[in-house]
Amino acid sequence: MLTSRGWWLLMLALLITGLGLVIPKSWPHPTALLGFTILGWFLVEWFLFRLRLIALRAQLAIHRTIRDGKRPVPSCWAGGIYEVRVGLRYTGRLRIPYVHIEDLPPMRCELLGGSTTEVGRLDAAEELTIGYRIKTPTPGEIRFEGVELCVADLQGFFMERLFLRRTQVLPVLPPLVDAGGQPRTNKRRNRLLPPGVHRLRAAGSGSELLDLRDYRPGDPPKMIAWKPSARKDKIITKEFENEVPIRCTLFVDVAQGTRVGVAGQGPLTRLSAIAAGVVQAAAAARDLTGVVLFDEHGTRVIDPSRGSQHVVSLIRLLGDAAKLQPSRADPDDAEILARLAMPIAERVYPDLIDDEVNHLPWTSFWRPVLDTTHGPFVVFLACTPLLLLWKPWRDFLRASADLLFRSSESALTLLLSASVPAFLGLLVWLWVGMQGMLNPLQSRRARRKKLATLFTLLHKLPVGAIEQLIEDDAAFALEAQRFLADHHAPYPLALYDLHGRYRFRSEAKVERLAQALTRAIGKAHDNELFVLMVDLFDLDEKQLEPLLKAVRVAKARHHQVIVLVPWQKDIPEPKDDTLDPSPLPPKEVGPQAEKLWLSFLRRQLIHRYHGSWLHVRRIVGKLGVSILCAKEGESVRLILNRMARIRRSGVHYR
Amino acid sequence: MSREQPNSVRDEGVLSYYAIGFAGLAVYLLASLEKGNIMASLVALLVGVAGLTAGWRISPGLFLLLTALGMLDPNNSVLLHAITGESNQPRRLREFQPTMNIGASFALADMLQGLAVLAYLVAQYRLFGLLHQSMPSSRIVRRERRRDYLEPTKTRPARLVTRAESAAVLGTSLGVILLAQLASILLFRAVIALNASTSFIAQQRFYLLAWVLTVLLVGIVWLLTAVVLNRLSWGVMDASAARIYLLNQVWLDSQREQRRQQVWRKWYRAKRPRQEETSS
Repeated sequence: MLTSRGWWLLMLALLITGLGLVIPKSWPHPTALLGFTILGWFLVEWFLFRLRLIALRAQLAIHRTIRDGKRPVPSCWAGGIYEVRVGLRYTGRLRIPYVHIEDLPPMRCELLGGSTTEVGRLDAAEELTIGYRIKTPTPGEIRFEGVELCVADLQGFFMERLFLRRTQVLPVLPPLVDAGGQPRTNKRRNRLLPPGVHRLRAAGSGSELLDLRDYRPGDPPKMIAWKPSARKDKIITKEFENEVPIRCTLFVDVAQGTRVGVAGQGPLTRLSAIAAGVVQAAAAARDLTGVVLFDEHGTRVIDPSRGSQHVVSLIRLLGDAAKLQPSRADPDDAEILARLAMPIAERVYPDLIDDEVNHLPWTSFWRPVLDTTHGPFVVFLACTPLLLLWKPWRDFLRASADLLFRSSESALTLLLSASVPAFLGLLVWLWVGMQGMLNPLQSRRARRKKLATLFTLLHKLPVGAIEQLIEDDAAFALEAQRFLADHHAPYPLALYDLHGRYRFRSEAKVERLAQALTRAIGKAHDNELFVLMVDLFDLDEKQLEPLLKAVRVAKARHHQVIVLVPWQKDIPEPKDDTLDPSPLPPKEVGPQAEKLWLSFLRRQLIHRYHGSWLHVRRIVGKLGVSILCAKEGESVRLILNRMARIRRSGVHYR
Repeated sequence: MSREQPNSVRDEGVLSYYAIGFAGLAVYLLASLEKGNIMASLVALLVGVAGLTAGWRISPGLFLLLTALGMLDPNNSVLLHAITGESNQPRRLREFQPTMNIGASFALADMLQGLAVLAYLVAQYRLFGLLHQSMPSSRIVRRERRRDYLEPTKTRPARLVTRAESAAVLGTSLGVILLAQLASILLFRAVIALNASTSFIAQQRFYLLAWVLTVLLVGIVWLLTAVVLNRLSWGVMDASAARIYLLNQVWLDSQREQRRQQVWRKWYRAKRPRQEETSS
């Protein structure tokens, strides 16, 4: 709270007061008066500052609205531009002469204009407002944390940062795609018909003329074909073809593997955007679309249907999926994650990590010697005087003392000889224990404890979790990842383990996908389109077998299947179907070759990725199924083309 | 992203503090002339003027020290000795003469000088806030030593300066100096009253008593204020802060037992892979 400027003045005031009390030869002396004056002024300013802080904490309210044009919105569209307005209303009587406020804009947003900060005074008469414009580039969600207030006195002796948490989370729905370029076509023939229905060239409410027939009472007059009626001299009615929609089911992989990547630019975000595009385009063509979200643990199925409510629910579902973050904690990452989480905690939760409410007693910083590898040896050394009870040891010490000091009989010499290792042991014990009270161990432990308590509160964990999070690196890393993901902060993830295996490879999700596909085939009414948006990297043919079996069944039932594989954004696509030879490691070693090694690692990663892609493409391609990289615009177009092809297909059902 | 423009020295708010600062220095000079300690006062004045015009950060501190030096050593023997190596006064044992007369304690020149110093300090620090920096940079930025990232310097906009501020500065300064004078006299009366004999006061004993009473006075005032303010701030604590406080207390109460359990769990986790290896 006290700034360096305040500290300096306080020290000077104390010094002058002290000198005024000690040095002068006449009493009272003006120096003491000057010291008292400065001290008194400092006390008055401190008192007023604290009083203002208390009033501010009690009587400040903020409200935030996000507007699209003139109306406030409860959710956003990806790519949309919105105006944010934040107002601070203070109702206290004590006026705050100087505050600096800043609204933290969401992490995934692009700031287009306006200002996120404002400086002013707070009183009951006027309201401080902030206004700025943001663009929401990717689907998922945006999170407004709250407003940071920096309050200072006019001299700059005291300063306090407060954070008014008003968390507001808005879903960002996948963008609305333009389906105008996709001509609406009608399905003429069916390959697979429902039992009892042999042709779909039945009369219906389509737009293509099917037949002309005699007028029957009750036929709508607008269906009367006037020219044939005039020719035949009797009333003829037009009959139109039945319009059969296409059913399309999108299987979206939301497993850990697709969540990896830069927030908002990862494979899952792209898959969600593609799926949302298909859903909207299909809805515009009055087709039925369903979505199946699957991961390692289960599936969530929304059966194909149509209607605006269905489309909105699908888009919401995909928006929720797009915000998922990977959570695969490695105990070794605990310290890095703590370092990443602490600045966020300091900024957003300053009152919850303050020493006043969340502190660690100094005794907790003592580092137990038994926690170290040489601990038992140190304890043994410290306890060596007890060995005096053992006669052989006494004899050995006597002999040693006789050899060294030529006086084996003295009890003091004996005791001193026995105490030397104990003294050394105690010294090491003290040194090890004191290390915990010095940096970096001290700050590391304090940070860990504060974060552990904060996570326990925020994630609603039981009280015992505090100590568990302090001691258990894996549990702490998991909670820290959750905290960072909740606040949309990026965090590092190791993609490969020590054995070079891809850590996000999942066989369980292949099983889940196969089950979901089989279920969808079982419920299919017609020849349908199944789009599998799934990450299949680093899976071999044996692991893919359940999925391949389900795809074979789908093909046998004359369904169309497309496989879309999400592609990491920063990895280039392979130029052709041949794999380049594996890159050779550089011969140079040492810090000067760091760039060469980084380049080698990158090339190797790309080589491995391409190899895995070609492998999957070969396996899936054997079944006659299209497999493609998930590129946003092109993928939507491809799926819609495939749906159009089903409509236009001229194959008759036998 | 801030849309606030930096202040100029021509802004009304800035000019008003310049006026207070220079007026304070002028009164300071007159009071010093009245008291006769000119040399140190002139040096202090120069430092003060440099602080106001050039924005020297060390000016207020240096000004205070020079003023105190001038008060403690009105004949400038220390200053002259530092400059020329000679003193204008022969070194002799100091006489110790506590003043008993309260009327003599209320020296107008001393009070005016104190008032002037306070007015200058207030103006100087507020000008720093208006023209240079009103709040320190973020703790996170400082700790991480991120030199690549320059946090924008926060200055108080001149439009926030009101006319009432100047009056408040003078009012507060007057009030503070009167209180300080009162405290000073009260303290010395108390010291003298506590001494058994007024005819001979032991110098050491006097110092000790003065110190003890000063510390007691300042300490009690500070303690009482802090207690009242803490009580008030606990009253406005929000629910999450109260919850984390309780969590922390529970953890403190059962920390040793919990830690023991966790150490055993850690030991088991470390041992399990080895057991699995040996069993396989």
